[in-house]
Amino acid sequence: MRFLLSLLAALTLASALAHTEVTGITPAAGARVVAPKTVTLTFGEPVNLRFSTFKVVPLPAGADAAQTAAAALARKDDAKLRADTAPVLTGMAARVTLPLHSGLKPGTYLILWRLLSEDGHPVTGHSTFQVR
Amino acid sequence: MILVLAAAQALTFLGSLLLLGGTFARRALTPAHPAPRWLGLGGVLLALGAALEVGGTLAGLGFLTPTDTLAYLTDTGPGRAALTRVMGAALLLAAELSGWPVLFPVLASGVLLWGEAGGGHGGAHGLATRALTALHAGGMGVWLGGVLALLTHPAPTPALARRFTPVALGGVALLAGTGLLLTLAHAGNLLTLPGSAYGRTLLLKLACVALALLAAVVVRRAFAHSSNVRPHLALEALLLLAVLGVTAALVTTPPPTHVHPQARLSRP
Repeated sequence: MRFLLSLLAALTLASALAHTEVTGITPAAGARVVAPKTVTLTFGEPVNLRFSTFKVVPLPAGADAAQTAAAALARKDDAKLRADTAPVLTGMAARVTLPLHSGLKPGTYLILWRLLSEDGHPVTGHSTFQVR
Repeated sequence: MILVLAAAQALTFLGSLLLLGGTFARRALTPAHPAPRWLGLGGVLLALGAALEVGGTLAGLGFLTPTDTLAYLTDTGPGRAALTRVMGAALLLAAELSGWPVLFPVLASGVLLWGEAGGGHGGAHGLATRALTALHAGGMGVWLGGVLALLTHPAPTPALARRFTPVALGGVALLAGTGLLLTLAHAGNLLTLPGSAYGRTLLLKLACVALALLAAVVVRRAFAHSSNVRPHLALEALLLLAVLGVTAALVTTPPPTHVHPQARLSRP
C-alpha cells in the first residue's frame, strides 16, 4: 500500500511538471505599452530552442491574428518583415528574450511561437500587444 | 499533422506487436511459429513508424534538412526514443533469428519497449510513467502476440491454449494495473473523463478491451468444447487490433493535464 501511494505521489508530481507551456509573456497579452526593447517568453520547463520558432510581427488593422500567425510561422527568410531582430537561438532554456528593432511604430504586434513539446508534439500559440 | 503522428503510432504498435509478440510466442508458446518473415515485417513496420513520426514532427516544426534530422535524433527526447526503439527492434530481430540465449531477447525487448514508451505522452511525465508505459506496451504485445500465434498456428490445440492462459491473464492484470496508474497520471480525475476528447477516447479504448476480454472467454470455452476456435480467435485478435488503433489516436490526443490556455497543439 505504501509503495502504491509513493508511486501515485511520484506520478502526480511528474504530471505537474511535465507539459510544455508558455507560462509568461512580456508585454502581457493585450497590454498597451511604450515601444518595448524586448519581448520575453517563459515556459513551464526548458524547451529545445534549436527546434523552436519565435517571431514578433506587426498585425495589420482588421487582420485575423490566428491567420496572420500561421502565415508568419510558415514564412522563411522574413527578417525584414519582423519586429524582432531574428536572433539565432540554440540550447535549452525556460526563458527566451527576443530583442526588438528600436522605435517600433504605434500599432498592434503579434508574438508567435512554435515549439517542440516534451511529448514530441509541436505546440503553437500567439499573443498580441499594442504600441502606443 | 496529428493524423500523420497517429498513423506513425499505429505502425509502431503493429510492428512492436509482430516483433515482440511474435518472439514471445516462438520462445514460450508455439516454438518456431510465427515464421521469421513476420518478425522481419514487424521490424520494417517499426522502422517505418519511427521514420514517419520523426519526419512528421520535423515537417510540423518546419525543420527538414538532414542536419535537422540528425540533431533531432540525438538532441531531443522524442528523437532519442525513436532511435532507441529502432535499435531495440534490430537487436531483438538479430537475437531471435540467431537463436541467442533468452537473456538477449529479453534485454532487447526492454530496449524496444523503453524507446516505444518514450514517444508521445509516455515520455513526458518522468521515468516512473515511462516505465509504466513500457510495461503496458509489453503486456499488450504478449497478449495480442499470443492470440495471433494461436490464430495462425496450423494446429491450435487445447494444450497450447492452456499454456497461454496464465500468460494472458498476467498480461491482462499488468494492462489493468498500469492502465489505471497511467490514466491517473495523464487524465487526473477519473470522474471527468467524459468531459475531454482524451477521456472519451480512453473510454472507447476501455470498451474495446472489455469486448476483447469477453471474446477471450468465448475462445476458452470453444477450446474446452473442442469446437472450431479460429473464428473466435479472429474476433479476439480483431478487437485487440482495434484497441491498438484507438491507442494510436489516444497518444496523439492532448491529455487534460497537458492543455494550457496559451498553448494548443497545432492541427492542419
